[in-house]
Amino acid sequence: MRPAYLIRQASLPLILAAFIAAVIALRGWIPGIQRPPSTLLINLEAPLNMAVRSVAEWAQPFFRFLSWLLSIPIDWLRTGLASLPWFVFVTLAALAAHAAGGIRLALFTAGAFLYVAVTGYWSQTMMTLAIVGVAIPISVATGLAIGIIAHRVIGVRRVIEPVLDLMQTVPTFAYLIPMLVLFGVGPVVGMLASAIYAIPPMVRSVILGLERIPGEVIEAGLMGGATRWQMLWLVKLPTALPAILLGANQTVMAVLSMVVIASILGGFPDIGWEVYNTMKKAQFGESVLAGFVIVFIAMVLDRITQGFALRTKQGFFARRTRVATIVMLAVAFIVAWYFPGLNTYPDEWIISPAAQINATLDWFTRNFFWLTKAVKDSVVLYVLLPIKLGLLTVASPFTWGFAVTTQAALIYWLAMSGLTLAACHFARVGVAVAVAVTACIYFFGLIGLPWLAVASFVLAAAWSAGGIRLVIFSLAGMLFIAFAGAWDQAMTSVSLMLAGVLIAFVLGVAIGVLAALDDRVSAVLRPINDTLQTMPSFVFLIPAIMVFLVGEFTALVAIVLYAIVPSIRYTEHGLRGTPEQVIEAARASGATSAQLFWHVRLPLAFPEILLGLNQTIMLGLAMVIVAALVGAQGLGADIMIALTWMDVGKGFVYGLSVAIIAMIADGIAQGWSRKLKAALGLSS
Amino acid sequence: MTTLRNWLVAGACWLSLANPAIGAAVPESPDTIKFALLDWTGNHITNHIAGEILTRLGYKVDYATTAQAAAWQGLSDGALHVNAEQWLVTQKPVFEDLKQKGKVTSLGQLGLVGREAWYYPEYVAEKCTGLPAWEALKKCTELFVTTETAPKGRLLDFPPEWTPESPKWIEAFGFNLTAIPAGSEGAAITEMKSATARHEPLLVMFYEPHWAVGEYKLKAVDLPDFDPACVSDPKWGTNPEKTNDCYEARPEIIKVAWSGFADKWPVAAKVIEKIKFTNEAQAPLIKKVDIEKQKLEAVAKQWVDENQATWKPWVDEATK
Repeated sequence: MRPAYLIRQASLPLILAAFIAAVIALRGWIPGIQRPPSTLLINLEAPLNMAVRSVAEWAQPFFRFLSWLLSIPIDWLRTGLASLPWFVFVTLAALAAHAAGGIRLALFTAGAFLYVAVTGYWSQTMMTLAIVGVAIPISVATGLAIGIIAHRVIGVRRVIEPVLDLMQTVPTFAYLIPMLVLFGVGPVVGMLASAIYAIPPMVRSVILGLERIPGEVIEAGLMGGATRWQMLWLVKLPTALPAILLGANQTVMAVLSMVVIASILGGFPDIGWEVYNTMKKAQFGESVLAGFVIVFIAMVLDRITQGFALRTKQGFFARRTRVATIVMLAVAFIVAWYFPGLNTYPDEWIISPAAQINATLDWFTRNFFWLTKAVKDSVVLYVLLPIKLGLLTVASPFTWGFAVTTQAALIYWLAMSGLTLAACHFARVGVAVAVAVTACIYFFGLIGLPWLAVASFVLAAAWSAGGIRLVIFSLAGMLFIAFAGAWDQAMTSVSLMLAGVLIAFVLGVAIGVLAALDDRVSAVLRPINDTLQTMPSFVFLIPAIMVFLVGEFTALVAIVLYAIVPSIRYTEHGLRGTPEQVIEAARASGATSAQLFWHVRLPLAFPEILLGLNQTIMLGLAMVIVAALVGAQGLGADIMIALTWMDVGKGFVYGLSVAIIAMIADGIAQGWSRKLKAALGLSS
Repeated sequence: MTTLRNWLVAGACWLSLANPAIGAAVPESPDTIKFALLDWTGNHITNHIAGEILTRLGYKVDYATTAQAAAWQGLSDGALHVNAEQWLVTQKPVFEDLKQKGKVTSLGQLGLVGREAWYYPEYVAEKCTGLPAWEALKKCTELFVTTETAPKGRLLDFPPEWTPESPKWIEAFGFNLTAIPAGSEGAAITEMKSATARHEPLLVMFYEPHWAVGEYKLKAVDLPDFDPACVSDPKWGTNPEKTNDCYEARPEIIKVAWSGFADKWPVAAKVIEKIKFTNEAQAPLIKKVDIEKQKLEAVAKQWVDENQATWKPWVDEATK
C-alpha cells in the first residue's frame, strides 16, 4: 500500500474520530456537550412575535390594497368560468391543446375534463382554475422580472440565491399567520402562498437561460445596433426561451401542488378543499377521485405549455385554423344552448366509483394487515428507532429479544471497526468514514448522540464537499437551531427524513436503472411519476394509515412515495445520457454489457444521480408538515402547534430550522456532485 | 393579436349567457355576509343552515373555506363575518384574547352539547368485560399493546395542537397505557375505519357530537365527570394523591361574529343569536352529507324547507 498517502488522507478523519470519542466519553461529565447549554438559549420567539406583528400591521394597508386589487381578476374569472357551459369549456380546452400539440393532446385534454365532469367535480374544478388561472401568470411574470433584474444587477443576484432557497424550503404553515395579517383572509392569500413557492424555479431558469446565451448571438445583436432594451426583448429573451419555458412549466406544477393549502386560507369550496375535507373524513375513494382532478389539470397544463414551447417558431395560428376555431366554438355554444345537459352537467349523469374503491381498501386491510404489520414492525425496529434513539436505547428484551450488555456493545464495535478498516483497505477513505459515522449513529441515535458530535459530522461533510464557505454556513445554521431551542425537534425530524431519503434514494436508483435499460418500464413509469408528484400527498395518507396505522412509519411511506420520483428520473436520464462515442469505445475495447454498465455507464451517470439525491432530500423535507399530520413528532408538529396558537415567532424559528437543514443538505450533496464530476472529467 | 380577438369574442359570448340573479329586497346593508367554514361537517351544516335562513330573508351570503387560524384573522378584520359553530376548547384563550381586544364577539351558545372522552368500538367489550367502567379498562390494557408501545397499551390521542389531556389521566388513574398523538382528525378516523374493518381493539381520544361515533359504533369509557375540585384538589376523586382524576370540562360551543356585525346587520345578528341546535337535530344531517353523500347545500335547503316551525319563530323574535 501507500502508507504516506493513506496517512495524509486519513489524518482529518482520525482527528474527527478522536474528537467524537472524547465528546461521547465526556458527555455525562461536562454540561453543554450532550445538549446546547440551557442557560445560553436565546428566546427569539417573543421578539420575533413583536417584530413581525408590528411590521405586518404597519404595512397592512398597502398589502390589503394589493389584495383587493388581485381579488378582482379572481372574482371575474370565477364568475366567468362558473357560467360557461361545461361542454363549451371542454371544446375550448381541446382546441387549445390541439394548437399546442396536435390531435393526441386534444383527445387527452378532452378526456381529462370529461373525467372532471363525469366524477361530479365540475364546479369545484372551475373554482380552482379561477385561482390557478391568476396565480400562474402572476408567478411567471414576477419570476421573469426578478430573473431579468438578477441577470443585470450582480448585487441582486448574490442576495437572491439564499432568498429563493428560503422561499422553497420554509414550510408555508410556518408563515401563514403573518401572511393572513398582511393580506387578510381570502383566495388572494392562498394564491400568494402558492406564488411564493412557485416563483423560484422560474427565476432560476431565467437566470440560467440568460447566462447561457452564446457570445456570437449577442455580438450579432450588437452589430445590428440593438439598444439595451431591444437587446433584452428581441435578442436575449427569445434565445433563452426554451430554458425560460422549462421554468414556467415547473412554476405551473408548483402552483398546483399548493391548491390544497390555498383552500384553507379563506378560499372557495374548490377541488383543494374537496381533497382536504375527504382526507379529514377518511374517505379514500372520494379523495383519490378529487386528487386525480388535480393530477389531470397538472398534466394538461404541463403538456400544453410544453407543446407551445416546442412549437413557438411555427405559425400555427394560420387563418384557416382561426376560422375553424371560431366555428367550432360557435357550434359548441349552440349545442350547449340547445341541450341543457351540456350546459350544466346534470347530477344524474355523475358516475363515482368511490364506494368500490373504499370497499377494495377495506378488503385489502382485512386480508393483508398481517403482512403490512410485519413489514412495518421490522422497519420501525431495525431502521427508524435505532436512527432516532440508538440501538443502545431501543434494544430491549421486549423488542429485539436482548438488551445491550457490555459484551454485546463490544462485539458491535469490534465488528464495526473491522468493517471500517476493510472499507479503508478495499475502497476509499471516504467510504470508511461513511461506515464509521453510520455505525455511530445506529448505536447512539441522532437524539442520543451529543449535539457536538452531530455538529462535527455535519461540519466534516461540509468541509469535504464545499470547503470553508459551506462550513461557515453550516456552523451558523446549526448554532441557530441549537440556541433557538429547536435541536431535539430538528434531530427527530432529521432522523425520519434520513431514513425516508435513504430508502427513496436506493429504491429510486434501482427503479431508474430498470427504466434506463428497458423502454417498456420507462413508458409505464412516466404517468406513475407524474401522478406521484402532483397527487396531493394528503390522498396517500388514508390507505397508508389504514394498513400501517398512525405513526412514523406511515410518515415514512408518505415521504418515500413523494421523494422517490427525482431519484428515478435523474438516474434514468443520467444512464440514458452516456455519450455514444464512449459506449462505442468501450465496446471496441471488448467490454461485455455487464462491464459496460458497471464500469462505464453507471460511473458516468453518477453526478446526475447525486443531483437526483439532492432533489429527493428537498422533497423529503417538504413533507415535514404532512408527516406531522400522521403523527410524526418533530419540527412539523411544532409548526402546527404554533399555527394553532397563532404564535408567529415559534412558527418562524421552526420553519427556518427546516430551511436550514434543507440548505445544508443541499450544499453538501451539490458539492459532492461537483467534486465527482471533476474527478470523472465531466465538468465543463 | 388576432388570437386575442378570438378569445375576446368567445368571452363576450359566454358573458352574455351569464345572468347573475339579483336578490330581492335587501335589508340593512346590501353587502354579502361571509360565513367561515372550518374543517368538519357539523360546522358546514350549521353555517349553511344559518346562511340559508338569512338568504330567505333577502341577505346575500357567501361561504369561505378556512383553517381555524385563518378564520380568526378573517373575523377580526371583518373580511369574514360569522362562524355559527365555534368550539372553545383549545381555542378558548384565542377567543377570549380577540374578544377582549374588541375584534370578535359571541352571539351566544349554539346548544350542542360537546363531550371529549376515550372511545372504543363496541366489540371491544366482548374481550374486556366490565367496560365502559374505567376499572375494567385498567385490567385489559394489554388488548391495545403494539410494537411501538410494548409492553404498554396504545391510546390514540388528540393531535398535539389540540393540547391533549390524556397523559394526565393516564398518570392520575395509573393506566398501563402510552398516549400516541394522532397527528390529525382524519388520521384518527382512518384508524377507526381500519380497526373496525379488522375487528381489532382500538382505544382513541375523540369527541361528540361526531358522525364517526355512530358510524363506527364507538362507546365512551366512563371516567368520572369533571368537577372544578378535581383539577385543583388532589384529595378529590379516586386517587387521593393526584389531580386530574376526571374528564375535563365539557367544551363550550358558541356562535362567533366579527365585532362590527351587529351594527352593520342588526337583524341578521339577532337571528343568528336565536339559532339553536341540539345534537339530535344535527346528527342525521351530518349523516346525510358524510354517509349518504348528499350535497351540503341541498341538505341545508331541505332542513330549512321542512323545519319552518323551528326557525320562523327565531326570525319573528329577531324582527320584533
